[in-house]
Amino acid sequence: MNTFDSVPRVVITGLGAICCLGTGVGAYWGGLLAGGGEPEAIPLPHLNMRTKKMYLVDRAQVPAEPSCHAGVELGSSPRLAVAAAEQALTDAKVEDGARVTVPVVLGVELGNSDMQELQRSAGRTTWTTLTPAAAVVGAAIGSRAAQTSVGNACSASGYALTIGLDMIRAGEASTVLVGGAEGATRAGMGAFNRLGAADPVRCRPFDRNRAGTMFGDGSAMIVLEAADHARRRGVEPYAELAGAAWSCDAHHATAPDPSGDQIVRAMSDALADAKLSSADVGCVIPHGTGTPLNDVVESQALHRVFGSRMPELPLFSLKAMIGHTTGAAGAFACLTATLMLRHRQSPANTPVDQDPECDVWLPQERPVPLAAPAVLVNTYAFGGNNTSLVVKGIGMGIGKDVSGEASRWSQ
Amino acid sequence: MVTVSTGELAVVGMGVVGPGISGPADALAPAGAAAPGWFRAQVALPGRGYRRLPDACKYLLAASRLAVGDAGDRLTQTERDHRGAAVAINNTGAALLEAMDRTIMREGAAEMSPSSSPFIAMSSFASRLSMEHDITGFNLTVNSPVTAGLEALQIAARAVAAARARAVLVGAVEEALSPSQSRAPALGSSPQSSAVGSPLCSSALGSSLSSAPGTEVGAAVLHCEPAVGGCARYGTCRARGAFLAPGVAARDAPAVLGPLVGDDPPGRIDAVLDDSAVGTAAARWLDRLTGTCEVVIVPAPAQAGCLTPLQRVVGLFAQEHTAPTRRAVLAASAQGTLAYAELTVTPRGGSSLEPCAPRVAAEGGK
Repeated sequence: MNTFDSVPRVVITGLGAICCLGTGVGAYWGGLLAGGGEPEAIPLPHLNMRTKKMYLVDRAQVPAEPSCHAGVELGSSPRLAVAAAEQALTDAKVEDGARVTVPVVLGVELGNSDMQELQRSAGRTTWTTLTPAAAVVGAAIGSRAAQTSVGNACSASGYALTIGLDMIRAGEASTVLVGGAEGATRAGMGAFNRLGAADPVRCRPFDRNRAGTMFGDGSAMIVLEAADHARRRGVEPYAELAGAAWSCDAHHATAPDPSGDQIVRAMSDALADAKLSSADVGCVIPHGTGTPLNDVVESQALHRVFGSRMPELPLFSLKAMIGHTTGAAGAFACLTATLMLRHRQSPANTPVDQDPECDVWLPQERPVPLAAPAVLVNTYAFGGNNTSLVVKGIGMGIGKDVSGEASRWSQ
Repeated sequence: MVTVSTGELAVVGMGVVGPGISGPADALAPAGAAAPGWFRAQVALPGRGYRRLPDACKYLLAASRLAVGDAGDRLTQTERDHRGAAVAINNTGAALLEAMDRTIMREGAAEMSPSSSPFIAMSSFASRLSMEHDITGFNLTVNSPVTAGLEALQIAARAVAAARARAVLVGAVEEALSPSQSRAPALGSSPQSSAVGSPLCSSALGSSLSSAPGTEVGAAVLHCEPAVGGCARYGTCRARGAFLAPGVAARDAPAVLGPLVGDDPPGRIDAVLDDSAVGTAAARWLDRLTGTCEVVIVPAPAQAGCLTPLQRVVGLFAQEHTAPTRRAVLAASAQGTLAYAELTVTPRGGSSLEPCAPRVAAEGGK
């Protein structure tokens, strides 16, 4: 049992996104419905490797500012973070005067690496921090609250979201800005090439021909807020971040534990934290990266959690549409889950030649209506660092932008 | 604005590894030079499976072994799903990252070391802790500039309060920058550098040229438990954070640092500060505490990492007192992040520490 005096419900009241699908949540959702983005050549020099593509933000849409923070020249990651943060806070109607108390928790792995790599290619080698993004966002929004940067690689923003959730549950803050931001990275791409984990074609999780993952850049930001606080402000939430759980495989530096025991535990504990059962889940956004073993292990683990429901439980394979945004992947997945609940549907998946070892349902013909009120999000990382999150829909009359028809979920 | 911290941790065991440091009692001494051979991995980490790890990973593992050993059998008596790790890193993988990138630039990715490549994910340094100590509750990496070590304490305390773990190894690890990385930026800009954008941010020029050189090397780990029901062998601590925007640091310092430190400061505050706008504003604000408490300014280089603040925590807990004694560590980064850890040091006489009672059977074993 946690020791918090009371456990307020935590809702999502603002969203911001910029990625290969465009700038803004509208463009993002439209891009998912249209089938996602396409990989492009990485705009960095000295890319001496086999796979040289990522799912990239249109370079014309990468903000030029802020270009510098406290002596650190800023690459695309912190600039994308500031843009997405502004979107999310505006969406949540958190005005300038209220931003001073808003903590920021960001998942950032190789955040400012593109700037460092450009500098290195140009003969400039002095080291500056790799992870200024949370502080840059703090300065941009005028916050005086804590700015925390979480570096758990591909599950970083899953951890960040949980920290934000716990901060509100603990009464430390009524509103927390949480997200992730990553830019292009030559070193990251090179390492994945070296490890045989970079697919030269595209990001194709659960595909029989998958050959690793393919990165994407961008930033997703989410405003988490105590439900009572949102209600007092008259802001209608999109959804509730109802539960979250962590686990660790303690198995291998890069490979998942084939047993899947710890990812099963994370999913089960997140559902328990949300006070929901597996029957309440209408869709899963898997971690699903396209690396051969990960997708098989996750598929098998999902069967252990959802059992006989698996044939009718849709999965939405997000990374096939925006690439693997590493430290931002959990934030993008949580944002996507929120939009699914708002629109009551899961977009059609990118066409996939499905691996029979990945026995999951990936609807590809058309969007699928959500048949239950929650979406489960998984994020995993090197070292077996796992998080699972449960995003829950809010019934008729409470959810943002919900039309007048009665929601069966609230009945 | 009230700055709130959640949860309090009991510190059961401590371990520290660094040049010239033989144990926690040395942790307040000025950092020693990292002479070749200062760290003897075969002594600190006997056994197989460590040889190909980066040195920084070995520092962290060695410090964790010391902390876990110092705490007796408390970690192994904690069910594996209730063990956690929260580890701070800043420059830990910087030299390695540069070396990998240079290999890509010159020879191609195919020539990268397969054993080094996983450390492109900087959380790989901390992840090794989970395999070492069978930690399956969680393993979290914090990478906020300078303040990450104290933030790791705060995150661990919050996670314990949220029942995500009952025992957490809280650590920080740093590795020296490469010679080219630790070079202060040159005045002016070369034709090459102008191709990258703004040649140099002005504040970088100001702070880097006037700061002392030096980078951190080593690791510190605290074995922590919930303060309630845990074993406060060294004492208890809690931490919180704030943000002081560099551009308005002098103006905002009272409004930010006042709530962070609170109106009842302890007898001594160790403040790890560089000479950036933020560090300077924090130092000036601390001047007002003269006569109220002892403020120890710990100068930090412009490229400081996150080890020194947590190492100060270790050093303050290692001091002997005859009564419960309050201490604090403040850290600030040039980027604006602030963190503050409050300690209550358990009294003890002489050099011996009381061992903790074994954990109750219900929590025992894997």
